[in-house]
Amino acid sequence: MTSSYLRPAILIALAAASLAGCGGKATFDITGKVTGLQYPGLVLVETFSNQTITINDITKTSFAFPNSIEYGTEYNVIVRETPSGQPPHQSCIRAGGNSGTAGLRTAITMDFSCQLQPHTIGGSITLTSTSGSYLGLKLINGSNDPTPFTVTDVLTQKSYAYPGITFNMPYGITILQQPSDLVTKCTLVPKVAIDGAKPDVVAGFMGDVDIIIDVVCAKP
Amino acid sequence: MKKSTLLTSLTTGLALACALSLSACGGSDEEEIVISMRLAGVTKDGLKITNMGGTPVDVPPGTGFAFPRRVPVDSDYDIKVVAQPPNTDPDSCKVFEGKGNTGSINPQFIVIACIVTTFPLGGSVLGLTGGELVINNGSQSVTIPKNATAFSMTPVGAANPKLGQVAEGTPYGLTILKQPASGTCTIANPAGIMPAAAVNNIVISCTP
Repeated sequence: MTSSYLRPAILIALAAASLAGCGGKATFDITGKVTGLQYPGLVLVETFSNQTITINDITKTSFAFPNSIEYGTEYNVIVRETPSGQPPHQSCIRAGGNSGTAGLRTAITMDFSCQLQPHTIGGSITLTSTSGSYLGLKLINGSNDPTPFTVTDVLTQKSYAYPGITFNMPYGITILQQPSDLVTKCTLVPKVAIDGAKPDVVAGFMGDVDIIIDVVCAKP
Repeated sequence: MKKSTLLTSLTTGLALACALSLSACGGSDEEEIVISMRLAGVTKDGLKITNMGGTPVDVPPGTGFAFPRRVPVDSDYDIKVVAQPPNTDPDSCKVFEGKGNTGSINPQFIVIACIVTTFPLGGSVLGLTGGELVINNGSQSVTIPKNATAFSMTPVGAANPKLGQVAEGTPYGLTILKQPASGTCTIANPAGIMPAAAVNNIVISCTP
């Protein structure tokens, strides 16, 4: 831990020392890099000069605002908040660079990184009959996890969740094993109709919202 | 040898001092070094490691491990794998940042990573005359062309030939992601636990 704090401190010291050498520059371009953009429509705003740029070409990995700013001017680049400047299905955040006052550093760079938005597939697990138990029920999303979701305690396990499924990623929820009493049967019940859904299998592509697939169990 | 003898005698001396005056050595536990590591791909018993060529220690499956015995400050360490879990590719267990000197802090970055052996998943296709079919195993999907009579979850010409394979003991569950343009396909026995061998008996049947 000690050394990881020391290194940034050295870097800051070096950066401070090098500032003495950047006296003469009068205007500064506001530039940056974008990584991970997969859909057009990222809108960046420089909040002090109120400049806006929209990045529609997803193959472009760098940007520059049209107007440069003068020495001593404050700057701050953000993803437009309202209306949302986030590209569809993605979430971009400032990943590096600086905000501050032009001239404090030799260059103004504001880097952004974009990720596909992750969503969750999950739902409640309920027993609708007065007897029976869903103890031992096993659910999987293909081979995504090395071990199935397994009900080992019906008092605490009343739901399941597969988080982190990004837009357009395929999923396939399968009942790998019915409850261990061999009598109770569970079925998958999607909250919103999903094409091709069956009592024990639901598959599709992740959209822009969480997918709710409840598990309803009963002893006939 | 001389150094280790010196260390040993120092340690013995310290232990003796502790025994003589327990109250004065309250902090000694905190000053001793824990050699711990992160694990990847260790899902079964069988991994054995040594430190500085010492007695092999069993590493149980999990995501992390710490040598049960602490070492003194300024100890050299050199972690080596001497036996792999049985479900890993030969010579695939590697130690990263496994050699060094502790100085006065616990080593933070030792990693042992094994590659769990995976096996292909596939089977036969009947009656796929109505167009291509897309199936998936969780987030991994493959397109099966029209009139195919066999399928593999590893796409033809995949850059990574292990794509679509499944590790022994990991569940799999094939689902239909997109039915063909005409007709309906179903998968018999689509889910299970991967054995230590290829699965090639999954049958996809399509009706026109």
